[in-house]
Amino acid sequence: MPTTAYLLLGALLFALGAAGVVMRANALSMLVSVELMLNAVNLTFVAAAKRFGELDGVIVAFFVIAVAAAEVAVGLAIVIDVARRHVSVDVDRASDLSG
Amino acid sequence: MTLWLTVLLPLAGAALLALAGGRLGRRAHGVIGTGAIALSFGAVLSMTTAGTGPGVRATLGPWLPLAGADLTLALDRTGLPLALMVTGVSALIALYSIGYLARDAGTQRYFAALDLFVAAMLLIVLGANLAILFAGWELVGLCSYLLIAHWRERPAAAAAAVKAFVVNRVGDAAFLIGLLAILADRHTLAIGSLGPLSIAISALLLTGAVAKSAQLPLHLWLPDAMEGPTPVSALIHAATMVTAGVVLLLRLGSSLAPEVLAVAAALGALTALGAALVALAQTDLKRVLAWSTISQIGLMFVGAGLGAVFAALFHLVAHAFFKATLFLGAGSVMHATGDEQDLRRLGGLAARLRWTTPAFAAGALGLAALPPASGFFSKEAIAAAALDRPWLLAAVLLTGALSALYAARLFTLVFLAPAGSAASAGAHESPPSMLVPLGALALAALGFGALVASGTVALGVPEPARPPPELALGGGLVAVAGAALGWRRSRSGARELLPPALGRAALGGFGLDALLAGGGARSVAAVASALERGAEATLQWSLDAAGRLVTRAGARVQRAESGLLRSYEAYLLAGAALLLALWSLGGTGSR
Amino acid sequence: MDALVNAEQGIFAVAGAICVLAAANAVFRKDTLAAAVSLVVTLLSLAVIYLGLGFEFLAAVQVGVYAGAIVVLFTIAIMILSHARANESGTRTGRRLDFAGAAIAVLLFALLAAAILRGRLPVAVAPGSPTDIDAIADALFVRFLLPFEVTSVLLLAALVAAVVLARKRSSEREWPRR
Repeated sequence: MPTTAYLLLGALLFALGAAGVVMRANALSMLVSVELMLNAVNLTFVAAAKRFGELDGVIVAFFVIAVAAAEVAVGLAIVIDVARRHVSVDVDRASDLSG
Repeated sequence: MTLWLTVLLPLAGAALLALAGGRLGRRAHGVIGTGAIALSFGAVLSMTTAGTGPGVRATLGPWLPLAGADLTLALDRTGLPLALMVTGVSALIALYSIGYLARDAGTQRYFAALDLFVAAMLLIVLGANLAILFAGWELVGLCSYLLIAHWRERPAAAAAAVKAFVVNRVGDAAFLIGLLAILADRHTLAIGSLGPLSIAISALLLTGAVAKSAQLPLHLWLPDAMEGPTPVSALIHAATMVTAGVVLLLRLGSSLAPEVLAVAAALGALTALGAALVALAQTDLKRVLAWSTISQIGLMFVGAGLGAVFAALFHLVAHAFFKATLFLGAGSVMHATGDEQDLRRLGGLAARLRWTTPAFAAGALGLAALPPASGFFSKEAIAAAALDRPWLLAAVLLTGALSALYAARLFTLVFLAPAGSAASAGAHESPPSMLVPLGALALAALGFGALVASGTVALGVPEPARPPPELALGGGLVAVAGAALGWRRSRSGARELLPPALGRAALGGFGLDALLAGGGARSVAAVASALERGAEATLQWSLDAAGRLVTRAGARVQRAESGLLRSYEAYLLAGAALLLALWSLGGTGSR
Repeated sequence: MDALVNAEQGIFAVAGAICVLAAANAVFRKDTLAAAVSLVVTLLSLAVIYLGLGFEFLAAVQVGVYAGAIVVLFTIAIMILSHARANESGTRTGRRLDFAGAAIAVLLFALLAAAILRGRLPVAVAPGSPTDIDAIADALFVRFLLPFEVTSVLLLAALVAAVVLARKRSSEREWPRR
């Protein structure tokens, strides 16, 4: 399988995630989209590792997964906290930092 | 090198007073100020006794290579006598100032400006090139401004200082343009190697001289300059600075176009006559002397315009002595009467001021050109030079008559006529610190003329042939007649010596002040304020426009700060896409 | 006769297709629980792709951590916030963002694809890919030991932060009534 195919798949997943991040107002959906983007990146690294015969890409993917776990934990905690205050998970309503 | 010392010593005095004078007392100011000038006089004297002659040069270093001007001083034929006079008279007046300003709070400023003035005046007298001379020219103008407005809290003084400066500026501008024209044409500014100058350039330089020496039509600042302290009037506005114009004419002499020199002589004659008439009608003590100065300098212009270097120089020095005497005497009178300057309220001081009276008389004699006072001899020299120009000669003689007239009137009204006020009646003599310099100058006023005429003292300039004795006789008689008439008409109190209409016109300076101030100054002021308003409006608009631009741009940018998370993400991703596009298009798409 | 379809190619084709479809579903479903489930499918299909490439350990980690732990967290959060709603695309800003999102996604994919296709990458994969567990262990615990340890500290910090952020404040009511 040519490396290009894996890369294209990664690009497609990344674009989908990007679309979701902008188009969804639900904070949880937004987080899902972010996770999708991270996975797309992982796929790209892994494909590169396979192509160049180096392990480094795989190692990067490991660390990305670990960090993603941490990020999801904190992110969800924040969403829960914000939801408590605003009764809503609509990120458009959480525009206190405007101006 | 001694040559440069004469300039550097007073300069050092000025610097010392300016920088460290705040911590010293009033007496120290006077001592330093006078001492510096006295030392400078000593330097000049040593050069005189050593027989230093014209042609001596001293260079401190390079200055303006493009103008061919170095920091060089040179003695030409007028240098030594003028330097002697300037430093000597300045030293005496500085000494007098110590007593005159005994209770003044601004002595630090005063003596610093005075020292700076002496240094600058010497630059004019000794400068080897027009650049140095012009530097001195400007500096004396500055010192004049500072000293006229010495009593800063008086609005009249401030206005007078500004007027003096502005009128002089007109002359300075002309001078500078002429200087630059010379530079463009000859590529050198060294006096003495300029060669014959064109009429235009000569006229420009003459304009500068006219302004500085208060001749028609740029004379209006001098009477107002009397707002300054009397020693200042004596030094700057009688003996030295106002003579700078004459000095310029004398030093440039043969380089100036003959047509312009003729104009200078004619102008001088006209000024001399007109100013003498005005002096005759004045009621203020110092103003009489101011207009008198204008008149006498007119006579010097006649001499210089005729090429009579000896006559002009002689009269310049003699005038310095007797006019300084008169001014210092006036200062003594004012000190005695509590600053009374109105002639109608003075009088009867002869009995009370035992020392001032004879000193003042000596000065008045000089002014009236009565023999044997120096004024007699110097005026005769000028008349002699004008023998072949009937109109000029007539003007000189008539001026002589008028001078005698008002000199006598002045002396009589102040000292001989009955006292015009209580202040005058209760006058007391001045302290020795003022009387000693006054006396020294009075003696010089009396004796200088005779000494030169008899050959005991040489001016260093070749003397022309002896004038015909008829001239001396005629001049003397005119002077005596004039003096007698003036005395008789004034001895019972102030009486108009001129027919009423002429008298009123003369009192107001023949309306020239109003004419030039109204026409010239007002129109310039109108243009200036219109420009200012325009400039201000433009500035205001551009600032507003800049502000509006920033505000609007900011508002537009602020819309991006919506606080909406999704918008931020959209921007982020769009930016990433942009970078990606740029990177791809940048040709680094492949490895 | 064509060569047998390469196992790897086949796995990639199937898993890839499932992955894309599940991803689209996960991103665009209004029902967040369904979205989470779709996410699981996406992650699992990626794990399969890793397997096809020969990275067994990574595939295992993907299943265990991502599909296992992370999605579980998501699910719990979704449950907690089941009452919460979000108004999507209802406003003018929302519609603008919809358009912007779609445009950006298309643009990004186009650019990436262009970049990928223009790059001169060899068709075949280099032989002797390093999938050896020994090599992985060496990399993680020797060469990249510091990042490894730092990551564990990071996880600890995230744990503490999550607890602190999500706990109830004493001054607040448990759940504000609607």
